[in-house]
Amino acid sequence: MDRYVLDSGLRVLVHAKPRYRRKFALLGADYGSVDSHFVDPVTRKDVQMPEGIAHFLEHKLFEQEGEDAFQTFSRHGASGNASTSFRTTCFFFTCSSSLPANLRTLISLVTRAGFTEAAVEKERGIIEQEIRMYEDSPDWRVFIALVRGLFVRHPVRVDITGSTESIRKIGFADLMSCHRGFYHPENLCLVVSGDVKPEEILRVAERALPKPGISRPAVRIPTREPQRVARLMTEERLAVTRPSLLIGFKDRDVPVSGERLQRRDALTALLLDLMFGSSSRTWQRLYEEDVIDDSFYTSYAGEEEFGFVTLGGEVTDPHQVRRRLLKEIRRFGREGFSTEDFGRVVHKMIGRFVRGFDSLEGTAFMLLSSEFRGTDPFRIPTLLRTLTADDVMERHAALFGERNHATSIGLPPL
Amino acid sequence: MTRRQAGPNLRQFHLPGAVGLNVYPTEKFKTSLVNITFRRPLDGDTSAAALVPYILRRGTRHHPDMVSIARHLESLFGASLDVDVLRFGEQQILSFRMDLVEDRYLFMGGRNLLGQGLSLLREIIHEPELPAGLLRSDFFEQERSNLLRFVRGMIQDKGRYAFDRCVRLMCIGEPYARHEYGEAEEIEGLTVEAVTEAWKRTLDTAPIDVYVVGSTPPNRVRDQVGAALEGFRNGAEVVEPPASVRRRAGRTRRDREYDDVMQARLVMGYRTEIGYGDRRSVPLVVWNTVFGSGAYSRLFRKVREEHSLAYYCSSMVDQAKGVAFVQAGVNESDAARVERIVTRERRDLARNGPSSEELKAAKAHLTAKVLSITDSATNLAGFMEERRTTGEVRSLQELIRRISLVKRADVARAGATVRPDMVYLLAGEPS
Repeated sequence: MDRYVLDSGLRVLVHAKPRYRRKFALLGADYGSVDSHFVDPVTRKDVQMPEGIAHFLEHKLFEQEGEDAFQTFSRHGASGNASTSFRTTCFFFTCSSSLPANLRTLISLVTRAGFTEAAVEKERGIIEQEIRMYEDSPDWRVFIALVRGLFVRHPVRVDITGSTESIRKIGFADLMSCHRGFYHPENLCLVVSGDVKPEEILRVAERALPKPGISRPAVRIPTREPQRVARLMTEERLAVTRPSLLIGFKDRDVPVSGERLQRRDALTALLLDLMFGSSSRTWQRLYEEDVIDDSFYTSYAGEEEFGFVTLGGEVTDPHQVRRRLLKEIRRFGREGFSTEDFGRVVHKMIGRFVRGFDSLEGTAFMLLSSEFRGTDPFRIPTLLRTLTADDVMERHAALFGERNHATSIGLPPL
Repeated sequence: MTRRQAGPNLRQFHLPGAVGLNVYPTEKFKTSLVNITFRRPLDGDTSAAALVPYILRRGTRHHPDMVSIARHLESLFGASLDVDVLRFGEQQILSFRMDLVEDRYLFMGGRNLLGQGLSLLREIIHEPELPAGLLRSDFFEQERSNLLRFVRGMIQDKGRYAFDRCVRLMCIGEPYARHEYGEAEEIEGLTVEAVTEAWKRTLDTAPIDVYVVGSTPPNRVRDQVGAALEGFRNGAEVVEPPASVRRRAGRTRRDREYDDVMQARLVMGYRTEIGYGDRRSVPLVVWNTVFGSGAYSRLFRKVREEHSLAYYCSSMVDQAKGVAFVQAGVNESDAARVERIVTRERRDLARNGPSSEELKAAKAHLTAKVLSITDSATNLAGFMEERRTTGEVRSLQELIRRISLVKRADVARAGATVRPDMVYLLAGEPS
C-alpha cells in the first residue's frame, strides 16, 4: 500500500491489485452520525445539529448541479453509492474503465456541495421512506433499543438516519455548515484499490480538488459519557414470530487511540471467538441444548470514544437465555481456555486477515478505517502473535462487568 | 471421461456417475473455492431434502459434532464451510461449499489444503453417523425445529415476505410457487426416516455439479474430486429434474393483504416468454437494466428521484422461469401512483425502446459487471454454475460481445414480451 498527503491535506491511499479488472475508489469523511455537536469553523459558534444530519448530507451530496451522481457514474460505466455509519461517511464507486472521469466525479461531489435549497425539501420524502423501511425491521429496532439502553448521553445512541420528525428540522444552512466543517480536505481520505497507478490517481486528485479556502475543519465537542448504562432492560412488542434478545456490554476502555485501540479490538475479537465462537464448547453446549440457534451472534463495535459488545439472537425464553448467557460469561472468566484453543483461534484470525485482501471493497474500507483511527493494519498478524492468554483474560475482566450491561428484548405481539 | 475447452480458462470434465466438474484455474486469489451442488425438482420431497444439508453439517463418523468440525476447519487455517439450500427456476439446489487459503500463502508449502477440504466435504456429505441405518435423530429433531422457526420467521422481513406472497399468488399451482425450503406444515410432518431416504435418493439420483476456483492444475483437481466423490452413487439412474415451465400472463390479477407495517410493499409480477438460450435473452437483460436495475434505471429516476415516492423501486428478471418483478416500498396512499408510473415506463420502453444514452449506460454497466466476475472466486463459481445449468455455452468474452451488439429495437422487442400478471400490495392494518 502507498500513502500520500496532498498539499490540500487530502490523504490518498493506493492498494495495487495486479490483474484485477475492476477498480474500487472510496472517498471517506471522518464524520458520522455521532458528530452532531461541534464548533463551526466560520461562525465560531457551538452548534448542536438535528439527529440524522450526517446521513441527510450524504444523500444530498450525491446530487450535483441537478444531476444525481448515481447517473453521472452510470454514464461512465461505474456504479456509485454512499453510506453513513456512526463514525464515517463514505462515497464510493466501482468501474472497469474511465477511472479518471469517475474519480473526478467522486471528488467533485464530495468536496463541492452542489445541491439546492429546493432539493433539500425533495429529499425528505425519500429519506422518510428509508426510515420507514428500517422501522419495519425488528432486528434493527431491537439493536437501536439496546444502544439507547447502553448509552446515557453519547450520540451513538441516536439512530443514524434520525427520525421522521428530526429530519424535518434539517435545513439547507445546517447541511452547508456541516459540509464546511467536516468535508474539509484534511478531514477526507481517498482510497483506491485495483490494478492502478498511483501517479495517475494523484494527478487527477490534485486537479479535481477545489482551491483551498481559508476555513479549518470543525472542532468536535466530545460528550462526557458516564460509565453506568442508561437502562438495564428494554422490552418492546414487535412484529416478530419469536422473541429476539440482545445483551450489550459497554466498553470502559475508552477513550483510546492508536496502537492501544488496535490491541483492544484484536483482543476483543479473540475473546469473543474463544468464548462463543463455533469451535467453543460453550457454543456447542448452548446449541445442543437448544438455548441458541444459527441466529446467535456476537459482535463488537469499537471506536476511540465508545465501544460495545453485542450478543444474542432469536430465542424461546429471553429472560432465561439472558441469565444463562451471563452465567456462561462469568464461567469463562473463571475457567478460561486451553493453549490449544488459543493457538487455533489465532491461526484462524491470521487466515481471515490474509483472505480479506481478496476483496477490493473490503480492503479499501479496512484501510480507510485504519487511517482515520491512526493505526497500521499490516501490523495485525504480528500483533496477533504477540498477544497472550493472560491478555485475553485481562480483557475479559475489563469488558464484562456486573454493571455495564444492558438488555433489549423484542417480543411477539400479544 | 471427456473434457472440452470452454473459454480461455474454464475447463469442464464429465466424471463417472453424471458428475459435472467445472474448474477455473487462477492464481489471482489468496483463497480457493469448492462448491458441490445437487439439483432436485421442487416437489413433495423439497422440505425433506432441504433439511439434509443442515443435518449433515452437524457431524460425521470422524467428526461427531459441530465443534470437532469447527476445530478441524480452524486447523485448515480458518477454512470456511457453508451449506445452503437455493433455487434455480423450478429446481432446488443443495450446496456444500468451502473456502480455503491457497497453499502458497502458508508459511510452509505443500499442505494440499484443497485435498483436505475435499475429504472433509466427502465426510460431511457421504459419511454421517447412521445409528440403526438412519441419520441421528437428535440432529434431525433439532434441525427440523430450527428450519421450522426460520421458515415461520420469514414474515419478519416484510420486503421479502411481500415478494414471496406475490410469487406464490401469481404462480399458484406451479412448482415455482413452492419455497426452496418447502412449507412449514410439511417440515412439521417430517420423520427421520423420510429425511434419511431423501438424503440417499439425492446422493443416488440427483445430478452433481462441482465448481472449483483456484490455482491447483485442472487435471489434479479432477483426480482429487474424483477420489472425493468415489462411491457416492449407488448405481441408480441419475434423474435430471424437469425444466421450468413457461406460462403466458392472463388477465392481471390483484391482491392486497394487511400486516403490521410502517411502509407498504408493492410487488408487480410479470411473465416473459424469453428464457435462457433464446436469442432475445441478452436484450432482455439489457431491458431490465434500463427499466429497473441500478441507479440509472427508469424506475429509480422516475419513482425515487423525480417524484420522491420511494427509497427503493427496482426490477428483476428470472430467465430460468420466464418471469419478472418490480418491487417498491411506498406510502400506501402512493401505491396506485407508483403503479401507474411503472406501467407508463414499461409501455414506453416497449414502444420506443431506450434512448441511446440509456442504452449506452446499460451496456457499460453490464460490461463492467461481466468483467468484474473474474475478480471474485464466488462470482466465477456463480458464472460457471449459470453457464452449466442453463446449457448456454458462452464465455465471458462472448457474453460481452453479445451485450455490445444489442440495439435499441432489440430492447424494445424484449420489453414487449414482458406482460403484467399480478399486482400485490402488503399494506398496514386497515383502520
